[in-house]
Amino acid sequence: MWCSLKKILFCCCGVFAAAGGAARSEEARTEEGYRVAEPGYAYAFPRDHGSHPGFRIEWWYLTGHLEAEAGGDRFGFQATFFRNAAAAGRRDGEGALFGSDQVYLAHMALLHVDTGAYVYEERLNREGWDAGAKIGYLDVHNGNWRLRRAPDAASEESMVLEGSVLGDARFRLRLSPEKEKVIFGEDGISRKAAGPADASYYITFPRLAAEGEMNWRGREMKVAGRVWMDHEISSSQLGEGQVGWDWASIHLDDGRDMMVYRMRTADGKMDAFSRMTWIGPDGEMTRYGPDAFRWEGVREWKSPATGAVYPIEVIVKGPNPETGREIALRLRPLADAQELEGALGGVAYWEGACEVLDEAGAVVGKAFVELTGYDGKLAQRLRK
Amino acid sequence: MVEGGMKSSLPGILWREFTWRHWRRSPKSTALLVVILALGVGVFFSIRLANRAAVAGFGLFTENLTGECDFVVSSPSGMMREAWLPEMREVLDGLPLALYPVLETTATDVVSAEGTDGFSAEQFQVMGLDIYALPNLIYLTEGRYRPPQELAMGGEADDREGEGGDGNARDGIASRAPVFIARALADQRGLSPGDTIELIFGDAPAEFEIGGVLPETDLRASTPSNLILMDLPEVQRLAGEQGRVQRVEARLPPGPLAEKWRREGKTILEAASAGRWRVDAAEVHRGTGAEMTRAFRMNLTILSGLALLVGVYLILQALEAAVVKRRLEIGVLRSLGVRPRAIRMAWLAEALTLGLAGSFLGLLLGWCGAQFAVRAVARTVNSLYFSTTTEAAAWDGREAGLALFAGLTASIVAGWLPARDAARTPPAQVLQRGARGGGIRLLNRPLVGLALLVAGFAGSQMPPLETGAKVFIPVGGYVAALCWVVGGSILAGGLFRPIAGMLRRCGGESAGVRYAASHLRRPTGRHRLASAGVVIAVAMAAAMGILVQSFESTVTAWIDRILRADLYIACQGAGNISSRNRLSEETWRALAADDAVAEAEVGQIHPITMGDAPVFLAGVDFGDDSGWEKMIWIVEPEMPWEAFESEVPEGGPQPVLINETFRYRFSLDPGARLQVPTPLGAREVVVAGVFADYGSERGTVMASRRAVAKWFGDERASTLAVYLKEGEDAEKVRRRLQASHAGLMIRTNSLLREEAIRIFHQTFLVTHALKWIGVAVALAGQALALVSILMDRRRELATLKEIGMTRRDISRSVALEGVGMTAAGAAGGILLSLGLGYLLIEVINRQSFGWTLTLTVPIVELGWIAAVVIATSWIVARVAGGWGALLPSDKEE
Repeated sequence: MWCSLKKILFCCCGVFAAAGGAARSEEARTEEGYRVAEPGYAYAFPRDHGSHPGFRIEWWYLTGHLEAEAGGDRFGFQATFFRNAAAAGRRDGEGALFGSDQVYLAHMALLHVDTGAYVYEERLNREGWDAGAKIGYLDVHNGNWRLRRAPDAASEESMVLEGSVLGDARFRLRLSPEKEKVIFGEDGISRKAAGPADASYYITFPRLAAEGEMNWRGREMKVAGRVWMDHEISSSQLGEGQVGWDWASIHLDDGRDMMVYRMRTADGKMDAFSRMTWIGPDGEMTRYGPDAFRWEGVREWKSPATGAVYPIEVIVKGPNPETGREIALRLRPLADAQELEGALGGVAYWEGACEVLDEAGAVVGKAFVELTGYDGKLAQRLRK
Repeated sequence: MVEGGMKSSLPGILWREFTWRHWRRSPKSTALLVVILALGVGVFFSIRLANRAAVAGFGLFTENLTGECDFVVSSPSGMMREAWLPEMREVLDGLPLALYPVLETTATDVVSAEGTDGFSAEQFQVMGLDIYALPNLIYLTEGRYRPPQELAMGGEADDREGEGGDGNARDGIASRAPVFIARALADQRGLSPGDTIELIFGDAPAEFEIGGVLPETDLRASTPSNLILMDLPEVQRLAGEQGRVQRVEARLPPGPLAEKWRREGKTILEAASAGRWRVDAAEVHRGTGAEMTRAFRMNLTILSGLALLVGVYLILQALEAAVVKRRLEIGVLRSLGVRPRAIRMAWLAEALTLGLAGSFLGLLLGWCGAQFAVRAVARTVNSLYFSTTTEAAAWDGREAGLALFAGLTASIVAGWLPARDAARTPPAQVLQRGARGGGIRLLNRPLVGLALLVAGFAGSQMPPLETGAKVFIPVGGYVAALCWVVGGSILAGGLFRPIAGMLRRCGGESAGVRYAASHLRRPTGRHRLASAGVVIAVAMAAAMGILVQSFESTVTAWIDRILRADLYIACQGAGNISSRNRLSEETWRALAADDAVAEAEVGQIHPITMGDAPVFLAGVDFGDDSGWEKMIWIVEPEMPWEAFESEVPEGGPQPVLINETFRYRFSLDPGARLQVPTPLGAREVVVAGVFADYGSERGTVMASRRAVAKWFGDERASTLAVYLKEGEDAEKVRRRLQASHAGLMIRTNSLLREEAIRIFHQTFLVTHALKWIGVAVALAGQALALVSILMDRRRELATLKEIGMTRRDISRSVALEGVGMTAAGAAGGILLSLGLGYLLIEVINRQSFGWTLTLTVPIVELGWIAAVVIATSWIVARVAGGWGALLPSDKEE
């Protein structure tokens, strides 16, 4: 469901209309003609790592924790590439350098854990010479930021991420799957709301081993760490009455991973499409609905920039699939100020690197938490 | 305590009882002095401000929208291929460098073109930028950039179908081909988003929807009203520049790594250019405007400095007169034991105070004057150099400081000699009333004058100083002018005697005439000084007259030779040198095929850069031998005329002609080979001949249009010269064609000639104003001189009245004396102007612009200048004389 955030961010950038649309089932297209995610979809790779311009929205989303080999600098980072189609079925002329049928938004953020320094940057570019995504294989770029399959790696699913944040940091990471990719949802689609078109193809690499180089404010260093990557493709919009959502990806030291989100409705309740999903060391997934888990905010932080108050420290409680007993994981931020103010998107959100503590207070893993809809603008945007 | 101290100190007493008392008792002459100095400082300041403002209007228009960039990538051929952009991104290999391709063009403002012939219709500077990428600047300018609201978050989406005309309906902002206008324009015309504005791109008028208003940012003071923003691909289409951009502006995000990345980025892009592009710091690009106009601005500054020089003479003269007038007081002070040093200091303090008052008043006058001057300067800059958006001259602290410094220096220089005289004068002499004296001794030394003339001649032989990209400043010429002006003003004192003799011969036995002649025969220093002021002013005015006349006759002859077609066709607004509007191939071919047309010549002009200097590459149809006859040759080509049009074997040099300015700036002669930058890479050309051309001082390389069109992949025309069939009426054809081509400017031969001459005169508008200000200052000074002379002579005047001379007789006699002084000055000035005219044409102009002008002396105009000056001085002197005749023998003013 965190996909919805990207959708909204993107729709609010003012370039495109936020028009909804019911699917015409016989054609599996929205009213505007965008393709719709359909059950039973036959995934094929590397094709489905590439771009799907027939769908309205698509993103490649990476969050992770890195540590320098020497010196002990620790980082949390976010790198997101969005693609949004302007109009269904339209393509710029072959090789157009200033196209207008696809627009690419991207976010990069970096937290230097030891100093608490947090920097981020957004970028918006049209399809063409400085932004684009290849069809058929993974290669997406926006300015100097680029995510592509690694040309020389042993695994076909290894990739290279090149990024930078303002004049503070530049990095190049090689990412190799430690765990097989997973497809979220049922029968190949991840349903987001009740509408027939409100579903996505949702491909995730829950564990990617990262290693590479980082230049942090003039200091060159080798870094290594672990990354979560989502690639989601859809044409749908948010459901009525939703005001925001909280999301987390969790890497536990014991090899298990979790993806959990709650949709918040206008009346303060958890939406029926909220989910908690465990991914075992072998990639086996166990899903729970909104009745089975809880998301409790335990500490708030008020953004001096936007005034939004975020519940940045949370406890996620839910069943442990191995024992069947309830487990409580505390997600504690590595720094409070990890808000992306959204000068281009117009919507502020908090996306922060956290450590994971068990009930005894021991650190048992790392996580990334996303909190949206706390600046009061999200719902306003949605109502536009 | 302080007051008591002031009262008891000698400087305080001297100030209060000596200087202040005098000022209080003679407020008018004190005020006149201040005004004269203020005028000098004001003229100097206003021209400097106007120059600065006109040049500040140049620069990267994008900076008005996006702030300064880190460096600029551009092609010497003027245009870059957009296909180079992905290549640049690739070679940068992940380096965080934001690249902003830019295409600037011009669009004619239909509102301003209405009711005019269109030639000087206002041009909008249209910035083609990738409007999708603009909001990213928020992160590149540390939040100082604000995108237009419609481009920022939360803008309403729009699904209307495109009006782009390319057949592709598109969503969102791109579908509307909207224009974003400046706040100033929106306010002026009451426009708001959703309204439409009519613009002419190339040769076709069209309506554009206003997509938004550009917000004011703190990146730049304000967005000029003639700036329009459009999406880059739309501008490419409208300007007929598909696949091309003008430059790429590189920007780095702020942060500790930015400097490192800037260096790396520059190095990488330079290494990858393979001669296709160059990488320059933004300052280099910005400096181009200042470089291009350096000589023009220098000339204006020197001229404005001359007004200040005349002012110096007058202050000197007035202070000197005051020394003479207050000689008695000085004597008393000296007898009381006041040291010469204290007296000198008192005089200097007086001069400095006057200087301060005059300078501050001058700053005020200058600032007001600059608001008028800037329009004239900007018009010239627009016609000759580049498009400037300047409408008002902003106050500039450094310029004000410079003007203040100039004013104070002038007053100290002017005060120094009288102060020294006052301090040195022995008490016995100063206590003798009516002793003759006064005037600076320098003016009594003809040998010094002669030496200055010789020094000036030596200066005139000096080579110019090169100050950057092929810009030459004739320093020796300016030094020579200064030497000749000062030397000439000294030597002009020698004219008093012959004029006195002439007066006596003409006036017979009239007492008044003889009285005037006797004073002129033995002129005081003050006579000489006042006359020197007139010499400078008249010399300056007459020399400018000679320059303008020589220019005009040369240019007229040139126009007669080159303008032979019946009709001239260009796009609206072509009067602006930076206009990029061109006739599409379809349009000019249709016009050339019109039934009334016998023959049409297509001209193409591309601004290019050679050796860091901006020059033009012209593509022309050489046609038959009549083309040869149209040229004014400096060096005739030795090859047959047809050879310029014949196909050149691959790799062989294309024969070209160069104009005189180009030859001068690049020191090239026929036979020389050079590389001309084109979008296809450098092309070798060989210089076959040199022609005279007064259209621009930039320098032009002229080649066959077919070759140029091939190099630039551009068949559009900058101009079309049309020869009509026998019996066709040019005016009728013009009207018919104009009716069907609203975006074009079609003029008959005679209209174009008038236009050319009008622009020519406009160029000298500021010059004329400066020249008459100089003359006015000189005449005011002369009045001041006469008043002080009469003051000095008040006892003598009383005696004249006693022996029976009427007030009228005295007034007439004084007027004759004044006219004699002026005549000496005017005659000296006219003689000096011949020398200065030679300097301006043969040294200063030739060294600055490389133009050959035929020296023509406008005898009638020189006569007029002399007559106006003398006649005015007659009136001034009559008034002064009448006032002098009423002077009681003991009145101070």
